[in-house]
Amino acid sequence: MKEEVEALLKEAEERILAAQTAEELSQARIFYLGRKEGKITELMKRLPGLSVDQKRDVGPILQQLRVTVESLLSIQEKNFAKDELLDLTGRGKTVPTGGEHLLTTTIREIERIFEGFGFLSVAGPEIETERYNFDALNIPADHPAREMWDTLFVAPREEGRLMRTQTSAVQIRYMEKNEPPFQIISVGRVFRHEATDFSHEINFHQAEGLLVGEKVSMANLLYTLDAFFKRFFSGQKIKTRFRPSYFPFVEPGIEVDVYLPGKGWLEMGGAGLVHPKVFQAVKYPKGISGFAFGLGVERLAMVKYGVPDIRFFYQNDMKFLQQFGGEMRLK
Amino acid sequence: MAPFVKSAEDVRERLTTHLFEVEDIVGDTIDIKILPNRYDAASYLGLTRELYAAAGKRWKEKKLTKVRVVKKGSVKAVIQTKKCARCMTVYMEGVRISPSPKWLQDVLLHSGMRPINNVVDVTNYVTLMTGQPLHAFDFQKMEGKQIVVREAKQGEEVKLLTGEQIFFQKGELMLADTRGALDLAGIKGGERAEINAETEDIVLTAANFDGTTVRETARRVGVITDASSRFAHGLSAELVGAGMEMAINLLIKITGAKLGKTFDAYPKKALAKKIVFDPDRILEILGVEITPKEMKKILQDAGFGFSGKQIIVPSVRTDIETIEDVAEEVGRIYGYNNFSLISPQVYLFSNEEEGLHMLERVVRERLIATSYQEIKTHSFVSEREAEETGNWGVIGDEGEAVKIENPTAALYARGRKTLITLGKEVVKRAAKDFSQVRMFEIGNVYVKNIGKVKEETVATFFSSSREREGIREVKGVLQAIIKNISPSSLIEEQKDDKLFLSLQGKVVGVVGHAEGVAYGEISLTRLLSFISFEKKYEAESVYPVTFRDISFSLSREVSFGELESEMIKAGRELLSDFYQRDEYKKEGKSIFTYRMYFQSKEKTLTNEEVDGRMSDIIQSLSKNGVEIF
Repeated sequence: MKEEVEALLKEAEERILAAQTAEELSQARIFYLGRKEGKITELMKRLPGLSVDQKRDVGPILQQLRVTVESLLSIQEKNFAKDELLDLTGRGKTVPTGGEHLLTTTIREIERIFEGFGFLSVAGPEIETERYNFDALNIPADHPAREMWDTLFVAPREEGRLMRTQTSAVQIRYMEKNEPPFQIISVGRVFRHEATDFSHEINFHQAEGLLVGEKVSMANLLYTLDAFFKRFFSGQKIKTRFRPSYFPFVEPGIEVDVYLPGKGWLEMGGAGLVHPKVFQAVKYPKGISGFAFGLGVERLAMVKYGVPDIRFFYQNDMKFLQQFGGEMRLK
Repeated sequence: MAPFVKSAEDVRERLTTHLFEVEDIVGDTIDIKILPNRYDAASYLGLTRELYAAAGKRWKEKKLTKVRVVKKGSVKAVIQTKKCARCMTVYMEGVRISPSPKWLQDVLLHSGMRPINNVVDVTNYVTLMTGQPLHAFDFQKMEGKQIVVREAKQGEEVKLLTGEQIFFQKGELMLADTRGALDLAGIKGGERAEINAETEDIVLTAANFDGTTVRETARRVGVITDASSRFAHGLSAELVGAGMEMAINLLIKITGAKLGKTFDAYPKKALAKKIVFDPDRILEILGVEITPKEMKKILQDAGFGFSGKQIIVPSVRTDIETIEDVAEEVGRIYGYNNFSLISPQVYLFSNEEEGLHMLERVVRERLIATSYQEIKTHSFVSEREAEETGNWGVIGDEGEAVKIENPTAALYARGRKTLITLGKEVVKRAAKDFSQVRMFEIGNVYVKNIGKVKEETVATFFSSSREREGIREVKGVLQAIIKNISPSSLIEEQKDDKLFLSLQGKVVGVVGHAEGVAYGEISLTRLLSFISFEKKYEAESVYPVTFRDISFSLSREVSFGELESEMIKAGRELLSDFYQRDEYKKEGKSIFTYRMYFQSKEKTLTNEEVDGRMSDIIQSLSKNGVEIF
């Protein structure tokens, strides 16, 4: 039997090394080590029938044979496995992911920049009183400037409530409760009685900034706006331009335009030094000064991300949401 | 009029950076957006003065040729109301009505006005030049020899040039003769004394009316004109004289009219406003180094005078009242784009981020991490939507949806009381194409109760997963959010088909399912009083977890909530967690599989210990009418 074993070892070595494919190798494994009819298995099965001496003689070499063939097979199998690499080229699967709305992304960008400048984010109510939205902002009831804001009123009109037309109302609320110096930013929803089109929505967002202290100047305001836009549009060579304008709650009043290469000058918002009458309305002492500005959030998002229609922000079309947000799997 | 200006583009540049935004240039016409406080400059002369000042030059207005009174005829001007500061009338005889010369017609056409006849055209032209509205009446068609500016009695009437019949309301303004109204003052002339081909003698009028009255009347009758807009924005009474002078001059030249008597009713002549010249204050406001001398020159170019330490404000500038206004003049004419930019001093806050702001951010981040996509919907809903779904949210039936007095469309008739109304529609639409749609919105909702309006910020999330799974999912999300930010435990209560969740007796959330969409809504405003972001490490068991599955069918009416509390009671300290793993039908019965996890804090559990506790659970469930499989 010893000879038989040696012959088998030689044969197995040759066959295994000669194998050209994984299939041939797998056949060789069955041929020698198969649980039912493997050659080596059969020899092993014969072992119990042998005499004690024979067992002592053949046992170890048989065992040796099995181990040798087994390791030879595994080595060769590994070599062949290299030829059958895992195929990684198929398309990745969509893993459902949550995502932020583009307006939130824009709002967070604005807040982050101003928070970096040291401004504190604060909020105010969307349903306001005429006092906060108009009167305290130096826009008395018969003031023609009220026509600048097409207002949605809450019924009944006599109760003096309205959907705030601008976030400037937050200025008054904050100043009533806090003493200068401070600087705040308030981003929120505002409303207008306007027909909807590609650049008008019944509701949209404004970012309101207010810095109050001593000897706050126009030069400070221009610096702040310029610094903001440079960061907001970082990577683009932008320029800012300031034009005279009129808002009853500031004096002097300006509008700010941003020049974007390829797009020209684009109007971005209004600003100015806080009007002394506004400080009077919140009973601040003389000698206090400050600046305020209001920027259109949708406008900034449209310019930065190339969105052509303001209505897209509120239509919640999945394709639009996914462009800037998470991913969902099609059915 | 300003020879140094080279082109329309040049005008755009100069005006935009120093005065008004130029909206459009078409051919020879420049479309300018007039600021509401600067109607003094809404004229060719006004713009010329501004262009000169912006260029660092001073404009000298051309003196008009002196005209002589040659006729005795007169029509007196009488003011009988405080709502008119000044009224001038001039009688002119022998006008020859004809079309205007071409240059005059061209100016009107380019300014968007239709030439009518030489008299009317002159009044319109003078308005464009000076900013002062004027009107000429046919003397022969008037009754009496005076024009009275007075407030209307209720129900008086006038037929306008357009043929429209207007009934006055008490207190509205008119120019009247002995018979009655000649016009709708400051807005539109009347038909009765209209100038036409037969007109020979005219009465030219110019007046200054109260802006608010004109604005309100114009809006009430729906006749908004160039004149009414000008008055509405507040003109100086001094303009009346300038307008009159130019009009008389032109009418004599163009229509051959002979000048009669002039009347000027001007009860309280406007005094020139004076403001103390304070260069330091101006410097403080602007923050740029402009010398007092430069300031003075800029102001003089803009028409301001100086008398000692006082600045004399030009009479037409009704907008200038304080030193801040003067600083603005200096700043804009100097040019904001020539300013050096100087960083403000910033105060370092020790204040924390506002609670609601932080809560919004934390909840949003968590929902996104839980694979929910953020959406934004309108703040308004229709009457029907408000009625049908208004009570679904966390505010529930605590009042009615806020009604909008003047909605732009029926879709926007009410303020939203919950974000579920519009959000579920978005989800339904997306679920047609996408599997397992998960969305959320964070926003404000409003409710009105006995005259009080309440506003809350809520976070609302949706899942299109099928019914029971969807509900468990949004409920799980809601519980996880609250667990993350509040140490208090949630108490739940099912009412009809909705589950309300409260903290210390206050409802903070709701969960439900409708129209194939599972929804949850949390009031962040209410949650504010329960939040705590403080967390402490707690030692976890180091011994292994084992689990057992159990399947059962419900054989009588018993809620999952009740069964689950039985499981917790029977599993005691060893039952560390469980969840519903599967639901299937067998022989018409719904079978539910739960997986129960066991773990001890003290040792590795043996099979016998786990099985013992399992049989306690099975026993307890069986008592509650559950059939074990």
